[in-house]
Amino acid sequence: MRGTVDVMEFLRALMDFSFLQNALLGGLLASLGCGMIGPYVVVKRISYLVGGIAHAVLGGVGVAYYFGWPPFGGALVAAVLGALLIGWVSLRWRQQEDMLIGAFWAGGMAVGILFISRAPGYNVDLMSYLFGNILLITRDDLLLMAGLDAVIFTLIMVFHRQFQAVCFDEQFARLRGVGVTQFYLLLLCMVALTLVLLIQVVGLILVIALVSLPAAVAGQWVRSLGAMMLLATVLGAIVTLSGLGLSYGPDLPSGATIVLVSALVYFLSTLMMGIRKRRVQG
Amino acid sequence: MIARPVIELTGICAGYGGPSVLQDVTLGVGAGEFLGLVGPNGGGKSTLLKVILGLLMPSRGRVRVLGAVPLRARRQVGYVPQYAEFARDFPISVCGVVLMGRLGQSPPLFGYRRCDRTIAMRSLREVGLVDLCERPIGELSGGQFQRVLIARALATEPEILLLDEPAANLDPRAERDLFGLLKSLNRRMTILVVTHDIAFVSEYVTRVACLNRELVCHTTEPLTAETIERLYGHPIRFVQHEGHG
Repeated sequence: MRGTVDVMEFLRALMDFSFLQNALLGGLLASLGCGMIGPYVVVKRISYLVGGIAHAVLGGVGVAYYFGWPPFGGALVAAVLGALLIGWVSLRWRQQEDMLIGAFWAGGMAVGILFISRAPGYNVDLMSYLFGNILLITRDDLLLMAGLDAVIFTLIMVFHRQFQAVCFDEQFARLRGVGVTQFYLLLLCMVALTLVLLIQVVGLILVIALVSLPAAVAGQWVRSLGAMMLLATVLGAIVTLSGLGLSYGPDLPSGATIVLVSALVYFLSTLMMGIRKRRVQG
Repeated sequence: MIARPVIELTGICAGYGGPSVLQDVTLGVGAGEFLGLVGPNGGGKSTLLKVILGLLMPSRGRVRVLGAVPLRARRQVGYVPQYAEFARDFPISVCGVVLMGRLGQSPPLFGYRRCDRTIAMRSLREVGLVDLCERPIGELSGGQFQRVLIARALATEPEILLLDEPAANLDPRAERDLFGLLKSLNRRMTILVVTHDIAFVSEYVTRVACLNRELVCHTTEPLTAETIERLYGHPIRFVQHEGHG
């Protein structure tokens, strides 16, 4: 009963408050971004790499704070630089990839904390980068997110065959004259853009979950990258919105609630998959 | 005598930074040949394929494929990698995999053309898998997936087909079917197949080359016990010694 009351309250508030409408729209735009990019992360098995880039972002945010630049810009630059560097190293020295990502993970975080601690006026905004606060999304943020989504969508429409080939069989793609290095780095840059997008919504710490979980669930049920993208987007929208709704009434942190909902969906889906498999075998 | 050579390797040394995997390998493959490349694990068979494909630069020696450097000839070479290396849960259909063979030929932007699809279907028909076109690759047997990879290589419309251990993990019947298919493809293209199953390939191929870091022999004669001894006996101790050091 309590839950229903909360949801009603949330819906009523949604009518009244523009910050909630922005949050809703932001959630949808972020779902679209992670729905498009998540399937690549899942099939290429690079969620650890994504974690590394996400944490490097904090370094960029910290540096931006320190120099008084816009933190969003810092996040963007750090994400893209991190993606290019990790991607380049992972293509060249595959054995070191693991350690390098670990170094990025920890180092990025440390740089961020150091610079922020020395920046004038350590404030709550930092928390919104660590844990995200979808309720703080502004109209400008929305425009930026829509723009990034559009860029990612266009790139996927134009180059989906190359991305697919690079994910499925790098070596064969190279033999067919596909610029594997370029497309892999481009893909990682798109991942980086999506991360910057998502950091606003669920924050740095939880971003990996929202990129990979909806896509992983989708991967259990459909058998093509395109269908995975569609389903992951829909799932992402459902979990962000329901997480937002659930967190609103009791005033829970929205980012954590959203991720918990998506983790729950993932476990349920895995369970159902297991039951189905057993039935097929039995 | 070899007919017009399509692959010429002269004095090739190659490796991965450490000790040379290939030592002074000289080998010519003539147009229309069906060459079986045999040898023990770690003997450099896959390395030799990489050199031919231009994926690995030899530290010494000269490579010519269809009269050009490997990078330039790549598009005329169909490559079938070891299928055990694939993540079979990748969400893609049989047709999607085969269409990848068209990537180099098709214009780079947006989707595949109608003629790419026609060629992909023709390749699938050749390997006998047209009915499985829409099937996700996760639902195929090992032998079927191996054929999909061959169809993908055929979709590149190659003049030379290179296969790396295509029969690994296949049961004897599937292996026989596979080599039957290769035999029929050999009517219109040169084939080089890497395998460790010496006894089996000699029925199908026109020539066998034995590789254990250096080219031990290449012959059309049936393999003698002495050659096999030379290939698998003494040199194996050598390889193990290297491993300890």
